[in-house]
Amino acid sequence: MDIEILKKLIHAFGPSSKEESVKKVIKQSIRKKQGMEIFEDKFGNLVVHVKGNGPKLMIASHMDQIGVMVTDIDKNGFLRIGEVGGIRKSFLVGQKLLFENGVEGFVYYEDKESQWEVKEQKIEKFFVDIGAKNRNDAKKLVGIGTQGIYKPTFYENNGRVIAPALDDRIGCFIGIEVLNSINSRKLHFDLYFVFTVQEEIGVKGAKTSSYEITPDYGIAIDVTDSGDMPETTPVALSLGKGAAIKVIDAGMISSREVKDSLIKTAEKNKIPYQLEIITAGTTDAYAMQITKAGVQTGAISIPTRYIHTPGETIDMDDVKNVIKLIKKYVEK
Amino acid sequence: MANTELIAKLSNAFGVSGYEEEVRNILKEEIKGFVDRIEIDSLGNLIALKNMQANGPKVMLNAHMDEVGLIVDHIDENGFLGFKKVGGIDDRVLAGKRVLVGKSKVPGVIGIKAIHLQSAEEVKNTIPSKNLYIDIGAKSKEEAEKIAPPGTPVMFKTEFETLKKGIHIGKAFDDRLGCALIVDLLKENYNLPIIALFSVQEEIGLRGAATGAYQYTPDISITLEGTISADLPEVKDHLKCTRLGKGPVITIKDSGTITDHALREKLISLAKRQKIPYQFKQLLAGGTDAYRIQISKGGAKVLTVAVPVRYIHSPVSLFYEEDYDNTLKLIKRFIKTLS
Amino acid sequence: MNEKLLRSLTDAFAVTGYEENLHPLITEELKDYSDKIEALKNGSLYALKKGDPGKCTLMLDAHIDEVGMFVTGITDEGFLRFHTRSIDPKVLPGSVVVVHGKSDIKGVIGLKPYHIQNKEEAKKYIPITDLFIDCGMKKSEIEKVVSIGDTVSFHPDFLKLQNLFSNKSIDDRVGVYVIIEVFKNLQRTKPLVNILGHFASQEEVTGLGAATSTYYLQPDFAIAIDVTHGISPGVAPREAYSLGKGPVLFIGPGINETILKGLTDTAKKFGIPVQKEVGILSGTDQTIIQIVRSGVPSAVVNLPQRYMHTPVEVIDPDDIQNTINLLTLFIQEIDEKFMEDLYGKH
Repeated sequence: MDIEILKKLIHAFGPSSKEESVKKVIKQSIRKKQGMEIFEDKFGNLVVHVKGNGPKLMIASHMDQIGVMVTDIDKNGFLRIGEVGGIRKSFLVGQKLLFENGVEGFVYYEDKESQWEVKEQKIEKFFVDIGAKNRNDAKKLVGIGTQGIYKPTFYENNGRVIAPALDDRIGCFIGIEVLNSINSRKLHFDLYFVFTVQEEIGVKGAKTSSYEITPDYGIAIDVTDSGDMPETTPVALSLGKGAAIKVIDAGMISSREVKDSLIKTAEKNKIPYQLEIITAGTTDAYAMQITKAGVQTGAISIPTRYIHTPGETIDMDDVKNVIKLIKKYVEK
Repeated sequence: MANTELIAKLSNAFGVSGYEEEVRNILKEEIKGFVDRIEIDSLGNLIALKNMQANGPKVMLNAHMDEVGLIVDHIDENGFLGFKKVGGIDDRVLAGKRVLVGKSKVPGVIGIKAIHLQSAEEVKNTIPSKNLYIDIGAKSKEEAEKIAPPGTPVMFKTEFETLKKGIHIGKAFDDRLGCALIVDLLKENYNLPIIALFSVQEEIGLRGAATGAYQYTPDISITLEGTISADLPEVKDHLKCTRLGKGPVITIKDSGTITDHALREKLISLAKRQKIPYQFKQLLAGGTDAYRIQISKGGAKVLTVAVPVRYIHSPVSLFYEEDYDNTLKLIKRFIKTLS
Repeated sequence: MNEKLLRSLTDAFAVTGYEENLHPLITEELKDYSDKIEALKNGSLYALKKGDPGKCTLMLDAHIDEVGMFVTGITDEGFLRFHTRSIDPKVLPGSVVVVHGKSDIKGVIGLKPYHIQNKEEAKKYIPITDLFIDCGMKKSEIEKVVSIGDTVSFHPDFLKLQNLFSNKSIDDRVGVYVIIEVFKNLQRTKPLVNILGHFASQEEVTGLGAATSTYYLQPDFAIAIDVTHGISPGVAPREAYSLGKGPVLFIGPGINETILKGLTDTAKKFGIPVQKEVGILSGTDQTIIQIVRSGVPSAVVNLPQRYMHTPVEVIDPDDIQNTINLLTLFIQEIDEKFMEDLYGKH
């Protein structure tokens, strides 16, 4: 696994609808091979088609990350923001944001009584200070509609990675690693690996690409919750215990055919795995499953702590096992 | 200048979600000389096609015909009508209002207990809509049931009026203004295939647009709306969303959709070059038909442009004619740049 | 009333995702009354009866899946942790459930005895995360049979409460029953249109069956048969309907007026009692069916039942019979004029 690629992905600026930089990193990182076609569909999804003999399989990882959008600039140069995707307002105060053109700022909160304690979790009460002196000064740096993300950081220690946007850059990383290591002659699927756009605001890229491709099978690669933090919501998933094979989430029940097939593949190849049940959140798999006359869909997830916060945390061992599982699943 | 006669006719028409017939009939009449083909689909969407054989991207112009309103769900022993809200309405705008019940437009009033009879506590409390009743003057349950059986739609009784030159009040500017804009736009000739989608049931879940856009999926779509303006006293600047008199409102993001960046930049450049005022929607709230159109089949590039309107989703709204005119001007010129 | 069939249908286990459990029973019942029966990969099953001339198709839809729970973990002591999407946790303490693992095992959802609870504790609401299923097994034993994700249903017990019936999953096995009986009634007739009985999967979660089957089967119009709330203590009169006063026709902005009129006219003509429910979105498969592809004109007929999504749902067999009669006669009454009104309306 080339961790430098993951670093590049984490540092790419890519809030929902502005995934260009992420697309670039992915295109540069894929080693094109025989029988592989790379193109962008009309919705902006990046599609890698590796021809193979067998039913059509679509694997989806999303390129976009959650973020904010500037909605107002006041006369003193302070910015007001709106949400793009599931930003957790309890994590906003004191966070460093990175805007489109490299501008940075910190988020604070209106409060007359107790210094910046977030009493009402309404986005209208937050504001961003980019160090501008006044409105005109600020307008040189940002405008209404400018998008921002948690400033990328990357910390690796002992096989664990802490970074914002592992949701779902880790899925993109896995996609690149799989595409770079599969033997297209051994494929028993006609494989479409789709790096989707706008997942965080309604699985839109997955809906449109799935419509166009009309796969027989679908698998989403995304993050899922981990239950191994102190006093946390009980979820039977932990870091380091293997690839999470999705059973149920808030938006779907995995196709038993796909789920059982993934479990069988894991067991046959002695790949450590865990069974995933979460009760909040869903993925591109939801979109694929309900496309047209239906697609047999499942998902493989990477257990992740603190999803949708700047400190998302994973274990690279799990990533390794997810890559292995996908490869063994698609190759004969 | 805005076709205020048409706007008035559309605004006054009965068109609660699911019961858009009167609005549809007016629009059919208005556009029939200017389009090649008119269709009505199984949900009631009005679809008009113009120039479909032309080269170029298929351009959709979309507005919804329906308005928020009420529906009778219950008749009490004394002949008063209980109702449900159709679409999002703040309970606090309902007390003391006049309504028209059913397609035959029987007048009714939503009265509440006189203040003299209210306790101090009652005076301060909002009355939830399920505790409000429509009085059509029926003397018995049977009489009421004959006139307005459960399932009868109800609209606000508000007449379009001009307050002073260029400032109008009326109901349902969300989205009869969008419908009027499309009528005006269809009168022009463009060298492009044009699909006009006047949708139904937008206010109850963007429903008509789902099937309308499936039937005729565009490459580019412009949703024309009447949108939130909260430029009122005591509303903080960053919460006003839009302002009357500042021109057409261009949406970057609302609750469900981020509009196409490249197309929007093109629109903004045009507005700047042609010196047409414009503003952005500054609250990322509210959803439109663009949500459905954007993810229809393999996807479409969408824009949402709106006339700013105060007090939408209430019995009486207000807009400035100059905003309507500037919206029309901008979109008319913009469509021409798409071929 | 084929009590035995209704009992078999409601006793059967098919929590969302396992609808194929009911396919053999439905197929057996309909094989002599349909021209074609096919199971779909989405978990739904459909039966087709050809009409004459059969130029259009009416889809009758009822969902197979019942509400249930799913196992989320196994404790060290061998108890099962679980979650549910649509069941009120209040009905669970003190109940018997059935865990569908490699085999079906019974379990009990118990509570700490009140003798050892303090007054405050005894009044508290117990969230689902604090409940557990006791199957009387040790961890090593139960792990062999039960996996995370396995479904759990209420334990069935079909009861006759005077003239009324009670069991789990009346929602929506009663709809399945109605469609089967309608097919049987139509045996000796050939309606103008083809009749498609669609036994849907996953209505209780995403409506996956309704969405994908409708896309595939492309019916011309549809009627969903589901349940609505019945009057019981504490339920406001405007939110619920009487048991025994007939099926409830849903009225609202998304319902096709021609179909609705057809149903009310049929009811009037044949003296079938019906009630009316007014709402905005029906919350049944119809809400999804209505906007598939270019749209499907559709309506909803609901049966009033008490205590929805609990083990003890209650229904009046008179209402079931009236629903069967209403739909059978409606179908038989479909003529050219009705079809013209449906399509030529605008």
